Amino acid sequence: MIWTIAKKELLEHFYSLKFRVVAVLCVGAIIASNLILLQDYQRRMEDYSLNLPKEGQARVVMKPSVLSVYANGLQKLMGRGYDLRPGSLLMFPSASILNLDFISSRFAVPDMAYLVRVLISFLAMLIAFDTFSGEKEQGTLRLFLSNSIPRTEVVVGKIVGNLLIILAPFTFSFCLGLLLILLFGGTSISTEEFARIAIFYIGSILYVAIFIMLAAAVSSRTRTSNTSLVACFFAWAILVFGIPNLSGTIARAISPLPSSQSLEEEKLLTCYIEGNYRQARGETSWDEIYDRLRHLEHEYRNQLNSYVETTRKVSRLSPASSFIYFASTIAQSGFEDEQRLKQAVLEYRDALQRSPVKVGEIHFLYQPLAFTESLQLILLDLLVLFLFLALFFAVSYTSFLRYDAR
Amino acid sequence: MLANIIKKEFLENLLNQRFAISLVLAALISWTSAFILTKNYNDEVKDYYRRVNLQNRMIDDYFHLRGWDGGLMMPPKPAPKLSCLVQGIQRGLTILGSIDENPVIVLFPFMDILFVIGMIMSIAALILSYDRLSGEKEAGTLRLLLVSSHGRAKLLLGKWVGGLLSVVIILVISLLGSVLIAYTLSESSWTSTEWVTLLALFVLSMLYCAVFYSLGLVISAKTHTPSDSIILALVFWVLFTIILPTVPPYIANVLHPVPSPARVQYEAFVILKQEEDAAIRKIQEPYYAKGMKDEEIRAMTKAEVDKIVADYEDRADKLKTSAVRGSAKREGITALLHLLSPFSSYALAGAELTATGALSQFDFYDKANRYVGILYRGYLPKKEEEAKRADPNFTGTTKLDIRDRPGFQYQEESITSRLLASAAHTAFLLIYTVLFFVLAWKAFLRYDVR
Repeated sequence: MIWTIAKKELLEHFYSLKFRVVAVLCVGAIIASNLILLQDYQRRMEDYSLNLPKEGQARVVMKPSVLSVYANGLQKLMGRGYDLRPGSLLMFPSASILNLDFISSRFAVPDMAYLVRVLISFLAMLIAFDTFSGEKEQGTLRLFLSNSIPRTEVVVGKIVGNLLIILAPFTFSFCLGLLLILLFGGTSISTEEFARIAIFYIGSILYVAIFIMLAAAVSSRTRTSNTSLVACFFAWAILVFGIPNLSGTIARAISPLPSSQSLEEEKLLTCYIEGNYRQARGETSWDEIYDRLRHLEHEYRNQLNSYVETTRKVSRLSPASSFIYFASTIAQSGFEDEQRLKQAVLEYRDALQRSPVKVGEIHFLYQPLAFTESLQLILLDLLVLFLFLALFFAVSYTSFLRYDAR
Repeated sequence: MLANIIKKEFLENLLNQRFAISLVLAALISWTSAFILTKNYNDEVKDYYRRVNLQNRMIDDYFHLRGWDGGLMMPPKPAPKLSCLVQGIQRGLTILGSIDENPVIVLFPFMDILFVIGMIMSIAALILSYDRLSGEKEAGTLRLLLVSSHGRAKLLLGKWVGGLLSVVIILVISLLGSVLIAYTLSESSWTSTEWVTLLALFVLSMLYCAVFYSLGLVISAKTHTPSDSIILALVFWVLFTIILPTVPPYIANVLHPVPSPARVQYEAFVILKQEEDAAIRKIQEPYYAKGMKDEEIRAMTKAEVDKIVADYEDRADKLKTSAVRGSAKREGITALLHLLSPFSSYALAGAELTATGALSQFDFYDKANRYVGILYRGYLPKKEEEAKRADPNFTGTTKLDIRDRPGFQYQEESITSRLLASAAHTAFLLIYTVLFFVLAWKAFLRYDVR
């Protein structure tokens, strides 16, 4: 019976203007995004090969990953190269980092994760906002319920139907995009990367399902489809933009964080200027100065880490932020990846400081998070997503059981 | 008679449930964001003073001529006064300077009043306007309205003014509340400049709402049932606020490809290190073959080598300047493409207006550089002379007391130049409003009301 209802939903949507619009938008946006980010990836690859350290140069460069087409995550930070000065703790970001102009830094990167988080969730709401209230308005809900179908099956069937109708264009464009990347990407995708992309896809489905459930829940608590639409939209706006984008600023009020510029200036002024001056007079030694610098950095990093942790806690009130964390981690550009890279860069810097003559012998070593480690890290966020799914399903289910079909 | 239509539209919207929800949501989010951003702003002010004090202390205690370059004397940039409401793009330039950069800003874009109004007011304007014509048609009241001898143009104008007024009420409440919150909590005092800026920001926001309200009317006049209208309205909203603002830098890259900074750096390296060395070696080779000594060769070929060095440096310079010019042009194209979306036009105009945009950023570096120039060209040489007169053993490594150096106080750009900086984007919003209104009018003249 569930299948019959789902099929009815599918066919009903299939011939509507709504579906045509949704399908065009979905396919167009995803393909465009894939092409745009693929080109960006190729540019960064070219930069990477030009930036590789030459003989005797102490330089850190990160190889871009094709997964950045799916989730750019913290690539902006992780893609930076550094020129190091052996013998000292100074480091300078190298020229390759500013690929995009800064006007656009105000706006998001249109990667697949952004499209799923914002656009596809929006389209899912658009498909499902009138799940119950629409049928009630047309009077068909009464006919429906006059048959001997349990309400449970109606709820499940309708949700499954709605989910399938949004997943069809999404899956189609996802596969087409992947095909384009394989054909024109000029890069091979390893098995591990395939597995990561597959998990990204599964997570996306989970995330889209949450919004289908949310729309159903709203629809089962409102009487007219107009009201459902407005309520759905505002719920979406709060979950997708309100909570995630405010969480960073809220966290700052809870665990304060000085600007990174002030840290850099303090390092430069107190350690190099003051330290140099006093060292020349024999009042201090370089070891002491470097200890102080490390201490400054350490203090700041503690503040930064607790700030990031607070942000993550606050922002998980919304499935959208959990989805961002999930997507960036699976694409190897999440918080933990950035931490790990930072650690590796700092270790390299320290090694060069201790033995500056061995520039050619000491190598920068960065081992990206392995597949299983990434899997462990995404578990929490997947769990949060599941909880949201269960919550919204429970709401729509219980409300529909008591829904007045007249 | 027009007044009657306006009143009817206004009241109808005001009593609408959608109006209530939009109002609550817009007010709630904008007030929250103003509250939090103002707290952040106060922290930033403290942070700024800490940086200034540290720099001054270090200069007072340890300044000497060698080892201190202009970069160390560069004053830090104070947080713009209105950044308690608008974050703008001020962080864009500085975001990548440190390894300990805050990763949260990279993952989530800024949430400020421009973002809240840009997202929520646009949708509020659309959901209050999408059924103004198609809805009345469905309800059958449009025919009644046209029975009276108003003329369609007048009717449309009345609907536009009345409906827009109701949207403006939401705008006023959320903006006014945010401004009040920022004003009471902010630790800096506001002058007339800030108030004029806020007034201009209000007008700009009104214009932005007008764009979307007119768009809603176009859609309403082109469709026959409200359920079709709303779908189209939402699609346009998605295009204008979610998709179009993200793509300009990438499209500009395709339209006007510029070698990346890494490539320029690499090519300059090839010119200066490899080709130049090869050319010099080619000249010196015959002398080496004769078995002459290094110093002799260097002395003999000095003129030629100098010329080669100058030539290659010239080439590398040309490469760099053309790259800089190219990327400036590309950024110009990006800025033009941003005009295509009212959302980014609004966000960029609002940023320029509140001195949190790109031009104010340049303005600061301009003024700060000029200040450093005054120090190094006028003030310090005089100081050095004085010190040399007082102490014949004075060198670059001797500490120099420059406590009487001129101070630096950054004055934010004047209101006129800010208005000018946001003029292009504002003009585009105006063009959009007029265009959509004309389209709505044309469509409505031929609208089948049956």
